[in-house]
Amino acid sequence: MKCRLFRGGIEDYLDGAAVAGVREAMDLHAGACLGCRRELEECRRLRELLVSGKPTPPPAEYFETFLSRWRREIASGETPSRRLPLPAFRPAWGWALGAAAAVLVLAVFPPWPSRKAGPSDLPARFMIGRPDGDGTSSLSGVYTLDPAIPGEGNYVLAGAARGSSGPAYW
Amino acid sequence: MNATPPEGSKSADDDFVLVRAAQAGDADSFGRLVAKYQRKIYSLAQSMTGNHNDADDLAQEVFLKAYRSLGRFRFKSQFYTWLYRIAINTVITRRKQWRRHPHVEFNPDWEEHGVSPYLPDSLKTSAPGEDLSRRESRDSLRERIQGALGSLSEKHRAVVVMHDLEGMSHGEIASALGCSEGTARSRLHYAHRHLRRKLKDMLGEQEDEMPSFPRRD
Repeated sequence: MKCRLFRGGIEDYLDGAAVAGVREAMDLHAGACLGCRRELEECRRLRELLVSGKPTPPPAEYFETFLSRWRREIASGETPSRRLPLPAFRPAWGWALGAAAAVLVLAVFPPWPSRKAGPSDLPARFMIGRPDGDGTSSLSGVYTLDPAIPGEGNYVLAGAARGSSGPAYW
Repeated sequence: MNATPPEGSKSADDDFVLVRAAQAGDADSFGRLVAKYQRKIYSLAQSMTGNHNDADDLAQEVFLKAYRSLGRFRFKSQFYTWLYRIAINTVITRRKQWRRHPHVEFNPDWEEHGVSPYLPDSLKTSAPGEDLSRRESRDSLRERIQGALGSLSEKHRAVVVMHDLEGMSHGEIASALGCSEGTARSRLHYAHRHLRRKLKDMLGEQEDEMPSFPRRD
């Protein structure tokens, strides 16, 4: 066994988690390699030292009062939450939520200029009763809707009535 | 491991029964869980903070938080690892608050100089009849060790406390900290290396105490 392998396995060795074959190989290596043996012993002593420095636990009476204090707190109105567990957060959820949020933001605040109302390019055909006539004759022709004041939704109907010489506006 | 938490699968099943009852509104069931784990949570808090008053405060807070959050326990981990996770998060949060607003119980120099001077004497003298020099020596040893532990980050200290003092396995630590087992191992390795440097003079060679290993012929 190489020293590097030995040192990497020291924690498992001390935990008693090293498998039998590895443990045997480590024992053999420690017997032959002073450096690794010292390393192992230092790790072992550190663990013992930490345990010896563990704070002294309080007396048993303390824990009796601990429980009764906790009960008092609960009696004063603490209740466990009844909230249903949330679904576990997974990366796929994150991407889906992110994409949905992005679509929503784009829909509300589009980065491209919104389409301004302009002259309609669709031909419209109207039958309009002449306001100054008796209402029996008709004007027919191709008209367009032009915004009277851009952006405000008011339109004038522009078009040339049959038989007239220029555009007429209504 | 030399010691394991008192969790077999039967014990874990018992915990789940109690948790379900508590979730249905039976506070006494949760009281039994408190009685079962209060020592472990207190011990964890005491090892993390280094003094009794803060540990007491934190342990109470941990159980209250756990009770309030019980509806979010999804039975996907052991109850006690879930409890440990709450405990570690509570300790980390509270210590950050204490750093910003030091309170009378917390010794701001603790991280460098050892346990809190406010530790009640009754907790320093656990062995009746212990002579003064022996007690001083033990207190001094404890202060050195607590000081070395205090020089670690909370996450590294938590791993050492759970592994070396509470006897938890790497898998249990990983579950309690919400990290991978590899991360738990790596943190432990780093923390041990750091502690060995800090306590070098206390880990001196003792050839006469070296265990005998079989030699290859």
